[in-house]
Amino acid sequence: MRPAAARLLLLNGAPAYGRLAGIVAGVAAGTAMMLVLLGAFLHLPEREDRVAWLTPDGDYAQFDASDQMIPREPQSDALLSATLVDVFDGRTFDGLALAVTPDTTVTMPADIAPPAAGEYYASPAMIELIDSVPASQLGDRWGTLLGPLPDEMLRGPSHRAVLAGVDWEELDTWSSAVVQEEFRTTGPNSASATFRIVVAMGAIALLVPMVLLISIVSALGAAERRERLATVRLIGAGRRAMAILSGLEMAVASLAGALVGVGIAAAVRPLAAQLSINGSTMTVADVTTSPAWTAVVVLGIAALGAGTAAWRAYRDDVGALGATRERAEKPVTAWRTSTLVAGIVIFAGSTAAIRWIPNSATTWQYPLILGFALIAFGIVAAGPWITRRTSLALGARTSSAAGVVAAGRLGRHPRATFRAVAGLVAAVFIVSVFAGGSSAIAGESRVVDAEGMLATDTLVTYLGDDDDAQALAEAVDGIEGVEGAAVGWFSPDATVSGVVFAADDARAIGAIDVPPSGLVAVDLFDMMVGPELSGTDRPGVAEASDADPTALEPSHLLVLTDGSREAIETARTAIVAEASSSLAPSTRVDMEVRGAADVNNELSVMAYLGMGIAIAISALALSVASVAAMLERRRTFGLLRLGGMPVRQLRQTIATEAAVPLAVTLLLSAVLGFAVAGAVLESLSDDLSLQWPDPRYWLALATSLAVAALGIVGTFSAVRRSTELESTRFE
Amino acid sequence: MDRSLALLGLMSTGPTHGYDLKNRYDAIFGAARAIAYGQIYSTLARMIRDGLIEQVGQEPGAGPDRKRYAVTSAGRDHLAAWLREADTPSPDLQTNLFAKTVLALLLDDDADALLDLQRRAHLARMRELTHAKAGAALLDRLAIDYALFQIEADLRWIDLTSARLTDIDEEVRHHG
Amino acid sequence: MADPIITASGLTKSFGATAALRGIDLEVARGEVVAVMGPSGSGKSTLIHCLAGVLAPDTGSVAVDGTELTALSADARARFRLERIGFVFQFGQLLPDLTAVENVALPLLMAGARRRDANERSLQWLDRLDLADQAGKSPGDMSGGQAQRVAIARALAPQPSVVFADEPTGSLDSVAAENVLTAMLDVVRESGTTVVLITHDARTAAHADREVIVRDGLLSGTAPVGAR
Ligand SMILES: Nc1ncnc2c1ncn2[C@@H]1O[C@H](COP(=O)(O)OP(=O)(O)OP(=O)(O)O)[C@@H](O)[C@H]1O
Ligand SMILES: [Mg+2]
Repeated sequence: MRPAAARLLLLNGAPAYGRLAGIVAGVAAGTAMMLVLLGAFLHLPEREDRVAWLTPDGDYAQFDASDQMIPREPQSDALLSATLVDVFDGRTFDGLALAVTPDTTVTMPADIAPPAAGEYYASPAMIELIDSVPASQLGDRWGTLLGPLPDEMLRGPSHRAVLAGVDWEELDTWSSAVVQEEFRTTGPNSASATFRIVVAMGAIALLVPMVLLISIVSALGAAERRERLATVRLIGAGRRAMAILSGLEMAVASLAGALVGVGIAAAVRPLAAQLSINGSTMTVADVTTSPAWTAVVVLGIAALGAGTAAWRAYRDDVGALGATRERAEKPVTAWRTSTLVAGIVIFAGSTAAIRWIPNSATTWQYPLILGFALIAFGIVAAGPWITRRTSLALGARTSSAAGVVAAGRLGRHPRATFRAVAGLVAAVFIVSVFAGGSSAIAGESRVVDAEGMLATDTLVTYLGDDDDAQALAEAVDGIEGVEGAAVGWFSPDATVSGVVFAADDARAIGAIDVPPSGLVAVDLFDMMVGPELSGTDRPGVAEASDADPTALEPSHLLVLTDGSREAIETARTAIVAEASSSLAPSTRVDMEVRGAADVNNELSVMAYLGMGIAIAISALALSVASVAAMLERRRTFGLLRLGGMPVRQLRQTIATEAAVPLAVTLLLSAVLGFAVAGAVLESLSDDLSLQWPDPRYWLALATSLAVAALGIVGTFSAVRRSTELESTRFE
Repeated sequence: MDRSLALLGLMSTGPTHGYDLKNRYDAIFGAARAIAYGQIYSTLARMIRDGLIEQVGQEPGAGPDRKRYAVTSAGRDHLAAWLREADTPSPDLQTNLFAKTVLALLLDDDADALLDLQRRAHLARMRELTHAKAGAALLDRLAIDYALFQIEADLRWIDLTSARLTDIDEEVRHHG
Repeated sequence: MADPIITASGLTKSFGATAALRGIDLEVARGEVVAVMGPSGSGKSTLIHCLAGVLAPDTGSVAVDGTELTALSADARARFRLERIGFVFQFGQLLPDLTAVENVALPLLMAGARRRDANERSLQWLDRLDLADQAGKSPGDMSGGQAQRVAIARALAPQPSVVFADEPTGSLDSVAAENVLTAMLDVVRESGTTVVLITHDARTAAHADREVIVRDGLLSGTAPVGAR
């Protein structure tokens, strides 16, 4: 076929250009999203490598026969380090305590000098925080600031971390300190596996509605286009020619779209990098794909677009040549559910594998992601079949004309009708997955004051062997807002468990049923975690032996404060600066924070961002599809109005046609979404479990439904206008 | 076709003489067969006898073709009655109706109405036949169908003619 | 006329600069079958659309079965069409997504019939038009003649006062046309339904009780509204 003929055929009039523009725009948005997410996916392991130094991996101290720790001699070609667990104002940050000899040969990333005892490096975000409060509250914890940590040692711009130099002999006494040959620059990447899975799921989640939108846009004006193609075949173009032509058209459109997408991706990267993953925002480089990957994505999308279009054109038998009757779709069969079933099997299999085979997440993440993708697309693939089944049942029962017309349409065009709501169904699936995932966090109990529990403004310090409890207590004594300090001792009697306090002190920290005087053993663990977790009815107090306190070995220092940030942080800083422990003093609130909260919070930010995008795309797809469907059926609706059907019943018809597939598949996708979330939580994390979703989920569901309703109601005014009898001719 | 009525019609546009009459007749109706002078004069004589036309003068020179004739009011009435009367279906119908249409156009009469008249007559006849067909035996029905198709052919010709009246009008005036 | 079911007077209708109807007076008697003939573009379809309350004429009035249509709102006219008027067109009037019986049942359901009753009555009508074996088929799988008969069944099923047919046999060959037409007229004559039928075909028109001819927006032999 000559180019001129092809142009005449494909680019006929404004709708054809509108359709192509829609495809280009859709592909561009999809490509941009894909490039950014792919960039994040590819760079996550490397990003975790940068912070491998925070989790030292080396030899712990040895103990001699009498259970005494054997001191490790300072070596110039090794380093001693321990992870610091510290918190400021309710937010944790990463840290490493490091000890080297003055003549050390150990090198560090970006050639910074290893900090000597009493010196530290901090990340730029940390420096900013340190500078924003008095040094006595934060900066004094580690001594003198040497300068910022280089980017090579950080997750990203918002990463808060410190590298503090400590005296070798002192660090040697920390139980968590290990000896390493060199500074660690690659990690085991198990952390990144989880996040890679999450990012990949997010990518798939956003791609499904995107693909649907593109397919809806490319189906615009299908009836009119099919008529034209039928005519062209009638005058002699072969099936192959048609396939090649459609393929070329799509190749050009999707290539153009993909290239525009590359530009959009570049523009949105700084924005996307603001997203926090695993405790920090990202650098732009972390979400940038290499030129090779970019080329693969661009060419892949163009090839995929061209291939699908050509295949469709080849397969699409235009029917009796020249006939322009509206034709029913090929019947959908139960085979359509096979993708969904395969997805569920693979997904269930790989979550089970991750759960039961230790350390298998890295290998099994790929089938897990594949299974998730198959489920997401499987719901969309099975939708038409479900729609058809439902419409058959509806058609046999309904007594309303609107119901009969809608059932007829749904039964004969299940693909087209389901496609309109497919985006929303996919979005609800995704929303449910993420809502299920983030429900685990939302479900965690709030930390509140209660009778018998440790006051939330009390700092608990675990004392090391060398710590002088009395000196520490005096150090915090003068701090404004500190109301007192209590020293706890190891119980001298093996039969009495708990921390031993003087009765007055026990009363002061909130223990109940305390005898008037003497020493008491307090179950401090119970007082911190509460009866629900500890399994006891109420924190118990036992009378301890009448031993001499001065002869007991101190184990805890409790500092009672007025709860102000200044008091808590100043006391904490004072203790951290003096005490020898990798664990900073913390309140009950801080302990909760140390759980998964930060990570989970960013998961839910990602989840709701994903939801927002998915719902927005779906809303767009639904309105485009509804309007297109209505325009294609103008004649049918015109006929119905001519025969006296009230506009109200026409609207009912349109509403039914959208509501039926939506209703039946929405439930399915919500249930599957929760099941998937539950499985992921089960397999990827030990301490989280599925909870009833929080209000944000119901809000998102309500938004989806409102969006669907709006999309449908939006076509209502067009119904009357476009079926106006003056504008339709009947012969 | 009744040639005398066609001649009468042609003369209705104004007084004329035999020679001129023959030329105009041949131009408009003579496609199948031209009319002979002899027939013109014998017809004129018969029409004078019947009082349909009269001689209105003679131009200088001798010979029959120098006489001028005009249509009398009786002649006009006769012509009008003929034009306003529908023909029954017959092999002659086409030529007759054609003559009528052309004359109506020439005389600025309503050619449409004339065709409608014929159409109605035909349809009435078809209706009768259709009605009869409902109760008829199979062989009779075949005969009736034949008749129906014949009439239908006429009607189609009438439709065609009526669709082309404007063109025909121009053509006729050119020769008239 | 003794008992006119349709009375139209002085109907005019223009589409932009095109004057489709220029002043039509027409009466149709109850139970009469009237053929409307005339050249293409003369205004026949426009005329029956005005008579059926599909289009509102610019001027003039239409009364059908005692109801003055020009006084009704668009929605009220829709209601009126639903209850009193049936339509048959040349082709493509059946909903392609529905089976024959559903197509016929549709107007009954619109008028509020129960599903079971509507199905039963539709089957009866299909049977009367010799279509019992086509009930479960969809229009796409039927011949043109069968589809037309289904359309006729649909027009007649609600037992309307008047059926308007615009070239109902226009897309059929003469034998099929004859069959479809006689099937329709037999039923119509039996029930005394009034029919206004547009046709180009004299043999079809011959089945009517009388014909009216439309030319240039006027009934043949009448003058435009302004020139009277
Ligand atoms: N909706 C419309 N918009 C503009 N013009 C119209 C419309 N409907 C009809 N017309 C015009 O009005 C005139 C009469 O049209 P109408 O359809 O009534 O003719 P008809 O007699 O039914 O012709 P046919 O036998 O070809 O169906 C035509 O000139 C047509 O172009
Ligand atoms: Mg028409």
